[in-house]
Amino acid sequence: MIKNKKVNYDVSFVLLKSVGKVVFYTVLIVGAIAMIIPFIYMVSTSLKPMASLFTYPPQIFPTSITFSNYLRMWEVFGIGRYFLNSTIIAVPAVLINIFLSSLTAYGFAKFDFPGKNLFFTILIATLAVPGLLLVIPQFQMVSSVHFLMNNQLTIILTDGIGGIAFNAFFLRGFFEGIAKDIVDAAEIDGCSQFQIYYKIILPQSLPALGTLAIFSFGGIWDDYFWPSLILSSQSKWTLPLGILAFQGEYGVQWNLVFAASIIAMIPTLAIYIVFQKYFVQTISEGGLKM
Amino acid sequence: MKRATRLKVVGMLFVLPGLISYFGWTLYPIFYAFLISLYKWNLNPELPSKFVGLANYITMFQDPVAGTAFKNTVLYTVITVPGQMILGFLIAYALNKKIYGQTTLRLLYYLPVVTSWIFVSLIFEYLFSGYGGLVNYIFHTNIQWLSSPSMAMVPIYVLGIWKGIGWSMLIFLAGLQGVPPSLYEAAQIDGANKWNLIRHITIPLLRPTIMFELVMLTIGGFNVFLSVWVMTSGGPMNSTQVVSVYMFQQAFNYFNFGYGSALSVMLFVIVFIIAQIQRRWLKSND
Repeated sequence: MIKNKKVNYDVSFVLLKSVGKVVFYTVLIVGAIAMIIPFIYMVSTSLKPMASLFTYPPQIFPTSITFSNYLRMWEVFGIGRYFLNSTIIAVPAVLINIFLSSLTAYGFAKFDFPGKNLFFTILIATLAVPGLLLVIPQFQMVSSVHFLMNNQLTIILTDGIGGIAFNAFFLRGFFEGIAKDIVDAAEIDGCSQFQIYYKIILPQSLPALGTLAIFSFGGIWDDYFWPSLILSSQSKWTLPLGILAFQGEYGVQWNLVFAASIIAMIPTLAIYIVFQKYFVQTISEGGLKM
Repeated sequence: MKRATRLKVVGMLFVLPGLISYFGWTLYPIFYAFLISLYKWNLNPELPSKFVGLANYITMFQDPVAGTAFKNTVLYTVITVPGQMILGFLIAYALNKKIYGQTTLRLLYYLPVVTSWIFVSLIFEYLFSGYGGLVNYIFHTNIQWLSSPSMAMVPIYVLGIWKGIGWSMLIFLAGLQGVPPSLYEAAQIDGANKWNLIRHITIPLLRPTIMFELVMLTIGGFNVFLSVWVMTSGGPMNSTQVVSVYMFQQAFNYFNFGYGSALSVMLFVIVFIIAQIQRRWLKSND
């Protein structure tokens, strides 16, 4: 009897467990679908001809497919120009940003100098400052120099030097973790401090630098607020400016809006996929702790 | 030069470019913003700016639109921060085990995070359109989401949570890796159930992660801008007005730079105080 009871208990327990598993998987998958449906709908809308845009019920998977929206955005709307502008700005800005941030972080990680703790405390204390607070004074500073207005170089420089406090704070932890004897050995071999920085420290920190590159590139590529204030000629606009202006003018042509959006989203997604390995590694090594 | 002295100089040279740009482009503008908020500010340096003391702040307290903007910004933070944290935690907890399709699921949940605010806002505007929108169709409703003052904040909240779950999940996943499995095993032998494990082991050990998320998401919540800008621009009838959008409109549409600065200073003060309280509170619970 007792033995039987135990078997019964085991069966119902296993059953309960597998029901729990089914519920668990269902919830996870429904959640994942909720994450991805907006993107699927975006892609499918971008492939719809104008006529099937306003059908009811809405078609998640369109009955007829066309690539002409992409072609039109490229040829008529000239999205290539905006794409080029975004690239011209984002690539040098990210490089400047990472170079400056890593120099600063390395200085704080490996050297002692007067005022070091004070400076670092100030950097940390302003991490919580909303970017919003800076916009008006920064605009006042830039707009008083005529050369800087309506100039893509301004965006490259301002994006290049933006966010250094957070980046330096983020990188410093990684630099401190690099074994001291490697640095000492290089010093004995006659490397200068700058050589140590770019021949040893930077290559050793690629995961952290890659992660920073994702953050930095994403922020610069997608920025709307600041470039919209600086770049007044349409020929200098970046993708977000061009696409929002287009949407404002032709709001209901969602197939065209999304074709353009997808073209604009590709680089950020590509960079994320390329650096994904680094990214996950960095985060799980605990780079983001306060 | 002695070696120690030389190293000091080299260290200073390393931080110098970063510090100069930081002081010029972040620290100085912070003080400048306070200054501008005390003036009826004129951008053109040749035209005089009039010192008005606290007048911009007094205007702000009497301005009903500013009131709505602050109320909506606070509500947005209060709703989306716990939303992102709770859902992000549950998903991280589920995906922390070795399960089939783990990597794919993580990637899917993270996808919204790496997509620009502009484009996800455009998608949500389309999903929530009143006639023939996918959301109305799926839930068999007929709501004019973005054009009705009482409903227009809802899509903005949903977007805020939807976009942030993946980030919250990733940070929690990182935190969960620091919880030694032996602790769970020991507690399970003592007869603790799953909820007990989460409450008494996981959450206390994740305190630093929770603190980091809470502070970062709160700052992010108070800065909400693009989703509102794209979906409603603060309308209809200012019902979705938030501080950042209102500040942008005051400064760059109406050229009220002094008033715009006062709004942003006020926001900064609120965020700063809240971040301090959160830090104290989480530390004192240790």
